[in-house]
Amino acid sequence: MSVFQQKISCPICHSTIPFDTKQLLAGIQFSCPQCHSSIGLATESKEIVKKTMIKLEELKLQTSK
Amino acid sequence: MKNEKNISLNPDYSSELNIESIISAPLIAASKANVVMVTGQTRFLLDYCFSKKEDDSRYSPVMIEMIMTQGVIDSSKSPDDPDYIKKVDMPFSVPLLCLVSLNSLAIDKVNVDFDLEITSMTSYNIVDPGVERGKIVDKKALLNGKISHKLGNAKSSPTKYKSQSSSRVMININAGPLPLPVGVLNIIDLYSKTIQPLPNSKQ
Repeated sequence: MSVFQQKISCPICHSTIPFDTKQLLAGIQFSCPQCHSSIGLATESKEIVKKTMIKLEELKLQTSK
Repeated sequence: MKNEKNISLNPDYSSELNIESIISAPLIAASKANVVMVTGQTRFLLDYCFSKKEDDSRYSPVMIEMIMTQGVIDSSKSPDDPDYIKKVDMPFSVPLLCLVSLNSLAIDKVNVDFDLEITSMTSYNIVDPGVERGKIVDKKALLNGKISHKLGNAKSSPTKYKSQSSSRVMININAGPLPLPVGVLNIIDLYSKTIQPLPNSKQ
């Protein structure tokens, strides 16, 4: 059972690859349990993903208040 | 928060209330709270996960680049050769929506607890201005009452009631993360099924 709750479809075999966005931002790659290909975040997209995650955390903080 | 000093709050607990109003009031408040939470999350999705051109009313998803690394066997080389298995990077596009860990925060349980002293019961005819249908019930009952107030533990002194300025209506609300709405899941599913890795042109 995967620890990571987020999943993405593998482009090669279409099985699900569990991953964590924060670890993707840190440069960690996640491998497909079926075909063993690994996926990672491209350098040029790190900034936009990081910005979106920061805004999501702010929204969660506002909702909890 | 404004400090409103000139407003006096003296609710009249002795007035008769319709039981439907007592039950529906907190539920309506909870549903309005749900609307506020969902609106905030929808606004976030539209602002950060979708983009809109000035001359177009449609939203299009913000796409990001990911890289898939796969080992490829070069059959022209011998297994002892270090270049026998070569790592090939293939970029592919994914909607940003697929990477954002969205939680659908909503109220999923509301408990309304009150004691109602029934003061009157009325009935009224069911008016159906539409097409004539076979009616099972012609009249509905309507309960009216006052929210009762009592001092002390009801189990120890169930018959002691005293008039006071407070009444008891307890509302417990439980909110938590619920599964994403079906609509959002369908959008993510649609884009996930169309993911195609683009072969790297540089060898």
